[in-house]
Amino acid sequence: MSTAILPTGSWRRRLRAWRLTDALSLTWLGLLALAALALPLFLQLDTETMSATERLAGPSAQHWLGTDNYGRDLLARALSGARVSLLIGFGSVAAAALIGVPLGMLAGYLKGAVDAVISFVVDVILAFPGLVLALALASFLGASVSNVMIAIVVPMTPVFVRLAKAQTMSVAGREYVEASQVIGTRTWSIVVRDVLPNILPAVLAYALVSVGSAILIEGGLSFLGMGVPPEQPSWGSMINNGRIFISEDPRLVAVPSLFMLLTILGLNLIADRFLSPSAAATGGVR
Amino acid sequence: MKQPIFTLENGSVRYGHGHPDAVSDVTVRLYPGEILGLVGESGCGKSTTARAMLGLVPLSAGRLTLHGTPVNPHDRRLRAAVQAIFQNPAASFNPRRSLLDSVAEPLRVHGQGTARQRRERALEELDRVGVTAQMAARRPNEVSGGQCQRAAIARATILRPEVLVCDEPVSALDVSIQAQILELLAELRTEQGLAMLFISHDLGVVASLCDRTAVMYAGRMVEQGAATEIAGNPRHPYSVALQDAVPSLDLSDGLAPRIRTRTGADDVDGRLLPGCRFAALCPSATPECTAAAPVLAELAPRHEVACHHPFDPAP
Amino acid sequence: MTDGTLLSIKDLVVEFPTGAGTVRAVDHVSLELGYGERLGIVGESGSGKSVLARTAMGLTRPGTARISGQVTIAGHPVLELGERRRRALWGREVAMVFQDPLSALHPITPIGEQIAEAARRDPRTTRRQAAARAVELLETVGIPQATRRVHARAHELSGGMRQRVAIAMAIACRPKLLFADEPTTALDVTVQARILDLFDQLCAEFGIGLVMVSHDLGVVGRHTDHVAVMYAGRIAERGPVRAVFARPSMRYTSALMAAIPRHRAAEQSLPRPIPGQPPNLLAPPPGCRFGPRCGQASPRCHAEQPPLLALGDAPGHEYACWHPGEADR
Ligand SMILES: Nc1ncnc2c1ncn2[C@@H]1O[C@H](COP(=O)(O)OP(=O)(O)O)[C@@H](O)[C@H]1O
Ligand SMILES: Nc1ncnc2c1ncn2[C@@H]1O[C@H](COP(=O)(O)OP(=O)(O)O)[C@@H](O)[C@H]1O
Ligand code: SF4
Ligand code: SF4
Ligand SMILES: [Mg+2]
Ligand SMILES: [Mg+2]
Repeated sequence: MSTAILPTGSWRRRLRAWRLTDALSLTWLGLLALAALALPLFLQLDTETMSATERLAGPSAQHWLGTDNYGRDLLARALSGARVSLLIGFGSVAAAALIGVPLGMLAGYLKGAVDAVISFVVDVILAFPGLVLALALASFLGASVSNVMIAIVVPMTPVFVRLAKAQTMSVAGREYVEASQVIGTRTWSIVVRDVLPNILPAVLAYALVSVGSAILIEGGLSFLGMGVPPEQPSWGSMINNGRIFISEDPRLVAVPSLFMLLTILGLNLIADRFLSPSAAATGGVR
Repeated sequence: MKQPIFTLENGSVRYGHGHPDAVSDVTVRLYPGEILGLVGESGCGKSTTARAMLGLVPLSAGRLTLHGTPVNPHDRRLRAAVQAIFQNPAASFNPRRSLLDSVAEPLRVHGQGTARQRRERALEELDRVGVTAQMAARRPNEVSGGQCQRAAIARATILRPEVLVCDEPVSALDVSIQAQILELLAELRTEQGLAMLFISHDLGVVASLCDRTAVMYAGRMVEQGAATEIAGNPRHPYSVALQDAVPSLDLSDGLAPRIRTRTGADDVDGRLLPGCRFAALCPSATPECTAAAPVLAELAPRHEVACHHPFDPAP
Repeated sequence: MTDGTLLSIKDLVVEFPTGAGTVRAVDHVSLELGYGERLGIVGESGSGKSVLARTAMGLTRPGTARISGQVTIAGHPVLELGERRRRALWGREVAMVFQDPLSALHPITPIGEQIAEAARRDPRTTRRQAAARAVELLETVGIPQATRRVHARAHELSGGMRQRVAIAMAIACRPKLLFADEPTTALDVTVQARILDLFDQLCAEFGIGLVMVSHDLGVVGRHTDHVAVMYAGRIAERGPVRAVFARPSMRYTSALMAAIPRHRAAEQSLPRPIPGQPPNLLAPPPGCRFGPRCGQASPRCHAEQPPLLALGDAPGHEYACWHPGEADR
């Protein structure tokens, strides 16, 4: 123990631990976000212009990834879809985490009656299969971006509650939390200063993975026609639209699917970094 | 006679329903300038006793007193007067903060001084226990266990408490470092007149540092007395077995164990026995022992034993 | 040493390349052990005890470490053997008992089956013989009601019982040499005493050679015949236990002995600390590794590494120190 003194330059070590896949994942996600969020500011993505002559056209200088069955530019639609998918993905996860984590921490730290009530509600929601619950909510609320988000947030929040509760309980049992109690630190201060920063890596990692699932659920809902309204392109609605032509021209399904696949893969790879031993060594998750 | 500063009186702790008491009817009295050692095998309730005295677990029976008056575990008087040092040096610090921050934290919590003054005081305190400013700027996982434990002592003493509860403070350290920490604790006792509860499973450590020693078995206090007495002249059969088991470094020492515990009863949970909790292993057990639990009684001045048939060194 | 050599370690060096540099965990160590003898290896954590024991047994994978030197166990050149032949040694010529018995035990397989499986490493043993041997072994290691206990699972046993089961597995094929790496560190003293007695009994009864690794000088002093004190990967002093304890000559040995609290001393006194900390093996000090912490260090100590020199009091007592003595005690 005494000889295993870590060098102080932990940032450098952390950077060195990054792999090529992480760089690729980050690049992809960065480009996608940039294209989805920034490009529309500078040039109008034409997602709507139909063209009878250019139906199901292959890639060309004008349409890099070709066009769909209405002659609309696939790349433009995929990027525009990214905007919706990322908004729903990050938005619903942020909402679920912001609601779920504080509740989970309360349950985990205070235990007792608070825990009993919160856990009961969580158990009830989790008794429904997540996707079915989302489906039911979406069909009940009607198709719109915000309703899709609600349909995703409701089944996702309890998982954050559970995660935060479990993490909090494990952190709260550690000696440094007891040490803080002994010096007389108030409960809220312990929760904010000692517990939160130490459960954050696990929560972030799970949140990133959840963004992937949220995008997937959005795709599923839109694919079933219960998600984003058809006039607003999203990856799910594009796949839905392309599925009739799957044998004729698989590109219509392949392009949005590939976007979705790469995005979710990238998110999962980045999430792995938060859970890796090197992250743990720098004070991350056990 | 001196009055105890801080006591746990007839304390019992139970972790959840359906469990037997982790500790039952335990009394601990801490006197200024005196270190009380608490020994016993793992699971016998040493940490639970410490946690109860720190108000970290609720008492199901019994009470705490400070300067002779009962004190509630959440009382802020307790928080300033009673501090703690834990076993695992690195784990007792928030891994995301520097040692200096953590050592200054008690001052912040108790609203003393400006941020700058607190820093100065923390650096002073750290220097006193032998941690340099350069080390203090590091995080707990970036320094050695010994350095971390020194910082833990600085954090515990920065409020000038009257009582220090130390739960296995040297168990994770190598002997050469352990001796450094013991020296530091002995200094605190004499210079600041601190009262200490010192938990260890190492009988040698307790014998060399403590003034009095208490022996626990299966959640009960079975013997208490002067440290040299408990080491040299234990009277409870369990204490004798414990002392016999220590592999002494002085190879010329007599080796023959004074007591042979009964074999084959290792898995018996003493807490569930109706009478004496050591009865299943005790070679001197009689029907009286299984019928009624012995209570602590003074066998010699300041030497208490809970046993119906105490070990007699010269029969 | 009598009876020929059971274990011979010659000039062993084990280095681990790490991101921050090379750690030399074992630095030119030579040791010998005769059949049926017991050797204790003591030192503080990080001094290289476990790496030495694991490498001697052939457990350190060459992929993770650079190893040089020779190790011979009962005539087998351990380091030169291929993976398959080396594995064939484990259990039958040499076995190991670890600090945490759970690491050696399967969580849900009944312990009897695990011991029988260990016994079947010897291909001559039939299934039925192995099952009978499991019961016999449980009795040997002092587990009462063995016929009933064979069905128990690891988690149902106390720590001491688990360690007994691990020992039963280790001796199932009657190895000639047993390594025990801190076998009692996780146990209570009373349990430790009984496990140590068991090792004594096994060595006496079956003529097993024992290498006991421990940070506890008392454990080694009471239960081995020879001792090697390690500091920062090197042998600081070695020899017959009584000779070394009676006349510790390398300054680290005497400082270490003075740092150990005495539990039955006539007069209460605090153990004497050793200043400083063990060296960082990434940048060890030149000359004597103990130099920076040693009260007797001279310029020579900081420049030249002291060789192991023989001391007259007992055959085999050697120390590595330029200014030997026991003035510290
Ligand atoms: N948080 C807990 N929940 C339930 N049981 C516990 C808990 N902590 C300790 N115990 C039980 O209480 C008893 C005493 O434990 P402890 O005070 O930690 O003993 P020691 O410190 O002497 O090893 C043990 O039987 C242990 O299993
Ligand atoms: N696989 C490894 N990679 C790098 N360093 C190692 C490895 N194993 C052990 N070491 C280093 O070798 C030294 C000796 O370790 P070890 O033999 O486990 O010490 P001991 O058993 O005496 O406590 C330590 O400094 C340790 O950090
Ligand atoms: S009361 Fe009886 S059983 Fe208990 S320790 Fe004393 S003699 Fe043994
Ligand atoms: S060689 Fe020198 S530094 Fe090393 S132990 Fe001997 S006296 Fe001390
Ligand atoms: Mg404990
Ligand atoms: Mg080791």
